[in-house]
This record gives sequence, structure tokens and C-alpha cells, in this order.
Amino acid sequence: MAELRCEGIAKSYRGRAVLTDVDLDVPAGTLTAILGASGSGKTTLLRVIMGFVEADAGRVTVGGDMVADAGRVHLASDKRAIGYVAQEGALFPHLSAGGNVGFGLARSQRKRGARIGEALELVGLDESYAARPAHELSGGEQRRVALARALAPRPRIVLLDEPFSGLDAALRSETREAVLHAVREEGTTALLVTHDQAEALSMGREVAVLREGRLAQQATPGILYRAPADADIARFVGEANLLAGQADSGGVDCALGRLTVVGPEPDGPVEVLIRPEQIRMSPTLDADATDGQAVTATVLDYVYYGPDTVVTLSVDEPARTIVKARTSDQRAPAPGEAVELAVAGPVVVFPAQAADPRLEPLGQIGRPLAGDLQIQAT
Amino acid sequence: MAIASALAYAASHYTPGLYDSIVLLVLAEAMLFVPFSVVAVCFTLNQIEPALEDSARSLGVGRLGAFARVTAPLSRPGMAAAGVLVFAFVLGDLGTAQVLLPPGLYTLGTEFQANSSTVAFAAAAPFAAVLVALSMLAAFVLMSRFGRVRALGSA
Repeated sequence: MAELRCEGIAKSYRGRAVLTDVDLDVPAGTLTAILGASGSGKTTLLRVIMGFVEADAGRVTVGGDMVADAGRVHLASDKRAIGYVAQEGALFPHLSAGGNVGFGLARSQRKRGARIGEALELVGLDESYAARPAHELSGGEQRRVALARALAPRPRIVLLDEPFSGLDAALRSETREAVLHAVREEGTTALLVTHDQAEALSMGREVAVLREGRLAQQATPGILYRAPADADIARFVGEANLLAGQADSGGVDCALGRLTVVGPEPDGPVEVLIRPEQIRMSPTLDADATDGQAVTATVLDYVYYGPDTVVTLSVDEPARTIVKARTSDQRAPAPGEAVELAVAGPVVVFPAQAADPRLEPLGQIGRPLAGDLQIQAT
Repeated sequence: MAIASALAYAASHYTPGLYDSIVLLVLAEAMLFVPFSVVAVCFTLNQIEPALEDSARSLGVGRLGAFARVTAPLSRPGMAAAGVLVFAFVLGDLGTAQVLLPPGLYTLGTEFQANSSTVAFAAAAPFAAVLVALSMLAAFVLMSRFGRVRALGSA
């Protein structure tokens, strides 16, 4: 059942539409991520849910209770029982960590302090932190205290607005785990807003992609990554090779040979989505031995990330087709080396159309991925 | 000086009771220096992140509560600074005092001026010393409190 439901949310500022007809369901007890580039309207959506701004149209229900119905109902933010973790934490600088965590509790509960200690423990901080002044905490500790503060009064939902921005990679993954643990432990429904596709894929039970104020796709991370709704989303959620191809029943012909298709199978010209880790490289045998059947390519360049290496390849036939392959082999082929390519698993195809630059592609060909990127297929 | 003269004129015509009373002087000083304190207070209010009030609201605290528990305590240093600033200004404001001071009363400034203009430097010196001391105190208070958020501990 959806704990939080947004129906037909629309909002525009000075005639410019920021949100258009957004329907969003956040299942109870899980973490859902909203993924969108900057300016996609994700923060506005969050502010509508919180009640900080009033939508032009649409309804918001929390646990079945109407909290906003444009033009008719607008429950004040403090009556919605929705927890909120602002960017950078936004701790009250004049209070201690404990004062922050207890802020939303009833006076008697605040005095006893039991719930404060409990909430701090939930985010992996021990009780001694309660006395520390908020402005003396480190960046990671501030985010944790902000989450503890939001969870302490046991809200029905907690909204997290880019909760890890500005943290360095190691601290980020540590804080990420602390957040996941706390939210799961409490069984709180959570909605996380982020522009970082790795963060969305690794943390969300479901991921909703927001594009230009519209909900482009809401799916589990695995489906979103392997079977995105269009080429645009494919590029947005991870590195993607998109090759021109010709589809017919049962397969598609493209620069990497004939491949099997999963999902919708349109006939005619298509774009073929091949993830870099689907491309397998092996040393070329004798040119004669391949009978011209295998796809051969020449290594142009590679980028070493540690756990894996991304290799840029130029396919020999048809010429000038550039693809990227990701390999966990520590001995990646050197530039100039000839390799044979094979594609593992079925691929997804989209009806061919002009490239759509609407989304800022995070993992597009030619750009290295964010430092701590780790794509999890679930 | 202009405001003081205008006030003196207006008071003597419309509210004879106020003329020659300390109330008029206080009123004049307030008119002169309130703008400075407003600027100082506005500055601190602008420094307070809107996300803090949003967070307070999300924790079930109403608009008034958010002001009382977040905005007001955070703007306290700014208020104090504004007070000290105005204190220092009033201390140094000779003109208004000369025009509006009721007979028989004097300020540090008028007394220093009266003595030093009659070349009674020895008599003027103590007033000058007190003036300098008070100004330094004001400057010290300003510098130690302003622009820094103090930890007040959990309320």
C-alpha cells in the first residue's frame, strides 16, 4: 500500500512549469528515490509534499489522509507528521546535538531524554553525542543527527533532500549505510531526493526518474537500469552504448552482430541499448579462424577505476563505431590491441528517434563516472 | 542637529509638557539611531537559513514556536550588537544633546565640550577618559559577540 501518494501535482513559477502532472506512489516501509538532474523539479516536489509550497493542482495523501488538495485543502507543514532532512542537515546551530534531536519531541519526552539517546543510537552515534554543540560536529555527524532529529518524533514518512551532498566518497557511503539502517530499523517510509544515479540505484527499493517536471519512469533499480523506458533514461541512469540497429521478430542486427531482444520488440530502425559490462572482450584469434563471423575491434583507450576498467573500442566493421566496455579483468587490453567482442545477455531496443538532449547524461560515453560509482543490479 | 531643532520647535508649540524634558531627548536619539539597529538586526535575520525554520516546522512546531525557539535565539547576538552600536552612537552624539538637554542635566559629551572650549582641559579630562573607556568597552563587546554563533547549550 502506498504510504505517500501524489496525484496530478502541477506547479509553475511565473508561467514556467516546474512540475507537470506528477503521480508518485511511495510504498509503505520502504525507501523510494527520486532521481533527477538539477532543475528537474525534484526539490519543488519535495516542498509540495512538505507543505512549504502550495501546488497549483493535484493532491497529496499521507497514509490515506488528505494533506493537500490544491485550492481546497492545505494542511500546515507542522501538522503533517512528515520528517524532513534538509540539504547539509540544517541543524539548529544554537543547540546541542541532543537539543536538536529532542526539538520535535513533547517537553516531557525531551526532559527524560530516553528517546533522544534511542534516536542517536539509531543513526550510529552513541549517547555522549547529545551534549556536543551542533556546530562542532563533522559533516557526516551533522547529517546523522539531522536524520535522528527527523526520526525522533516517529513521523509517518521522512523526506531526505540530497542528504549526502558535500560529503567525500568514503564518508558518503558510510553515511548512506547509516541512513539505510536507521530507516529500516524504524520501518519508516522514506523518500530520498538525489541527482546521483548510483545513490538512487543503490538505496531505493524503487526509483522514480523526474525529467523536466514530469515523472518519466518509476521502477525497481534493476528494471530501471536494464530496461529503461527510453534511450534518454538509459543514458541518465548509467553508462550506455546506444547503437543504431534494425529489429525484426526475435532479434536485432547492429554493429555488434545479431542480438536477442528482451521486452518490447519493435520492427524496423531502432536504438539498441548495450551496457558497457555486457560487452565481453577476448584476444583475437587468427583472422582466418574467425571466418569473418566474430566482431573485431581495436582498443583506443582505457580508464582504470580499481575494481574495473572501462575500455573505449573502435569496431572494425562497420568503421567508426565507438563502444565502451567495462571489464573487471585486471589485465585490460592495451591501446592498439585487437580484440574480439561478444555481447552477454539480451538487449533492450527503443524505436529510433533523434537524440534527445533533455537529460543531462551522467554516464554518457566519453565521460568518466563519479568516483565511488558502483552499480548494483538487483 | 536638524532633527533636534525640529523636535524642539514642534514640542514647544504642540506639547509644552514635553519640552525641556528628557523624554524629548530620548525620542530624538531613537529617531536618529533606530535605522542603524534595524540594519544590524536585519543582517542577522538574513544570515539565518530558511531551511532551519522549515526543519522546525517539519518537527511539528508552528510558526510562532519556530520563531521563539529558532529565529529569536539565533538573532540574539545581532540584537545585542545593535544595542551596543546605538549605545556608542548616542554616547558620541553631542549636537542633539546640546539642543534638547533640559537645564541642569548634562551628558559626558556636553560637559567635555563645555570645559574644553573654556580651555579647562584638566576639568574636561575625566569626562574624556570616561568617554574613551565606554567606547572601548562598546567596541570590545561588539567584536566579541558579533559575527559568531555562540553555543548556548541545550535549552
